[in-house]
Amino acid sequence: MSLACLLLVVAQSPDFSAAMQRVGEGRFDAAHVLIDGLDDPVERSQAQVFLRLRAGDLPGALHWATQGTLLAPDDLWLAERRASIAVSMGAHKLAERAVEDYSEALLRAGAESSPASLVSLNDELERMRSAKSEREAALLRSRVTVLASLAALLGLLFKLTRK
Amino acid sequence: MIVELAAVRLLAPWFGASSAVWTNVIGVVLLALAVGYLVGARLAEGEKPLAKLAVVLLVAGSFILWLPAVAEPIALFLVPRGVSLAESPELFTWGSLAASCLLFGPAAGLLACVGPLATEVLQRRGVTHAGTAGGRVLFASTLGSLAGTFATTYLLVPGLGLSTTFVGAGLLILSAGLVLMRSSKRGASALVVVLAALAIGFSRTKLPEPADGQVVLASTESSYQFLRVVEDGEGASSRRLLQVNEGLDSFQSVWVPQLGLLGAGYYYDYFALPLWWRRSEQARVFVIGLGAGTAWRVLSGSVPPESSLHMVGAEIDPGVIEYGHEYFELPRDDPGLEVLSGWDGRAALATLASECDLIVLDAYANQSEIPAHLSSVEFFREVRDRLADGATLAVNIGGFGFEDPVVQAVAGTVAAAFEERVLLLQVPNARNVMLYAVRGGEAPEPSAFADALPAAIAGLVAPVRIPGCIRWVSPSPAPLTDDLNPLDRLQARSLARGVEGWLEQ
Repeated sequence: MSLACLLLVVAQSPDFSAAMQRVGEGRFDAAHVLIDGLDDPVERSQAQVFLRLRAGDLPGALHWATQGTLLAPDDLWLAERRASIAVSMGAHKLAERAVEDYSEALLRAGAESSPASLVSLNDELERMRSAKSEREAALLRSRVTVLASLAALLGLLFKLTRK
Repeated sequence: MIVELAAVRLLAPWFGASSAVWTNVIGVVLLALAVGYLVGARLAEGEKPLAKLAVVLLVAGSFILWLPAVAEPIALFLVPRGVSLAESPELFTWGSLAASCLLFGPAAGLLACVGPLATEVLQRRGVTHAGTAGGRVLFASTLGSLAGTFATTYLLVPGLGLSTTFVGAGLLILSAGLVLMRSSKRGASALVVVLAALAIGFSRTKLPEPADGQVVLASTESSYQFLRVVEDGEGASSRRLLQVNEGLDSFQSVWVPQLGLLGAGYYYDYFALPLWWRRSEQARVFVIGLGAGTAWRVLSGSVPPESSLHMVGAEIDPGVIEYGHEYFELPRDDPGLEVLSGWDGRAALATLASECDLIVLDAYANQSEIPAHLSSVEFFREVRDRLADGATLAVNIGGFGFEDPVVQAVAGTVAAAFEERVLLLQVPNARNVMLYAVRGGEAPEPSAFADALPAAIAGLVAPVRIPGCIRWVSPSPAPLTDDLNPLDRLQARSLARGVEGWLEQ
């Protein structure tokens, strides 16, 4: 369990801690039952994100992180998880939005400098942006090549038919 | 034909060998041939058609000689390094079309000039009827194409490799041109020979580099595809991957030193589950798409202790099986394993002598395409008939979640063939969905049998016991059939939908 998750557990209700305990033991279904019974919807989202990440269900984790950040836009753990999952899944548009939301949440929380997580997310996002623009440029090159080849052929045909 | 057939193989490490790539190559070649015939006809009208024929052959031959050397820079110009098919399917379609225009259009156009020029030469040399001359030329060129077709697929590419095949074809054409060249053109001939020699020196096909930390152990051209074995890690954590064609950033088979489950992110582990929910003394398993034997190593290390595994594995590419023996510890003489090397899965299924306890379908062409004849309702009925009562078909489907069009279509088709609902399971940490269909019933829900499992197998089940990780699919009223199977289109839609579509579901 990471330090961030430990801090998360310490700050939450006993049922939340029990659910996290089950997750740690790999008893995901038992953890899910406990999480379903949590009263606080934000706590429930946090626990679901943690559970889904450990179970390898990235789309599920992202769904719950998004739900959680809608309820609690200032929750830094949820905002960071959402951004991090979106980036790791390569969901470009969602990742852009999520990293921006995380960055704004940090500003609202009064963070004076960017934490390492935001720096690394921004780096990753930059790599995604640059790969995307490279792909778009390559697509343009391919299309231009095809069109130029066609134009050359048409020109040749035109020349052949004119005597 | 040598150039046309080898053309797709030359593009495959960069663009794959999908039906879109084949269509693009054939389309460009046909268009170039059409224009080339017209150009040849125009050239034939003037004087000295024999000299023109010689020049055309010399230029075409030189061009073909250079193809292996220029393929890499052109491919890199059109598709940046490291782009995967899932990231930009459109780029692979346009890129392969553009590469075909640049690489094969000129060669095909030049070669098309040969027919009209040769006909003209024949006619001027005394064959009085144009039809007779044309018929003789067509006879010779069709025979040549026939020889080129068989030789390329069965002898040249697998035996000599791509570079030598192109160089050989180029030299053959160059030689024909040199023979026709009159003695007065010696200077030009010498220049061409020098050019050709230079080309041979540079004309080894270059391939995408392996990822950081990977070492290439072997690579070859098989009858079906380009194959490469890479290794990463060291000692107990070492791993070997078999990569094919454009999937050089991905893998087709995997080997780790220990037998049994591979761990998080590998769908192969989920082939073992059915042998645990229906336990028997003999585990008779048939694998369609054995690859280099990953399923064998996973299952032989993870069957229930009371079961003895007997596996029959069909793999269409004998080159993959050879690499399996050499690099993936696929045994050559294990009594529990029978390998059908060079067999199509559907043909192999028909030869099975006994009923199976588990049939695994893991057959992909070109990284992402499930072959249409292995995804029709008729095929899945044949599969069902080969299963014992209560036995399972397990299918690996690459797709973006349960709503993926390919996943939906294949699942609905299997359900229609089995006349039962089928179970879909999202493989944790992967973009794979595992499908289970049981003959004469339904697959059990993971929660129904998970408590009686040993820890390692229970570890597979635990993540999919939470809501949202499994899905039941009912028989489709319009399943995929041998007659109408739009899987190509569905696969294109799946790629276009991509991760963003998965997350919206």
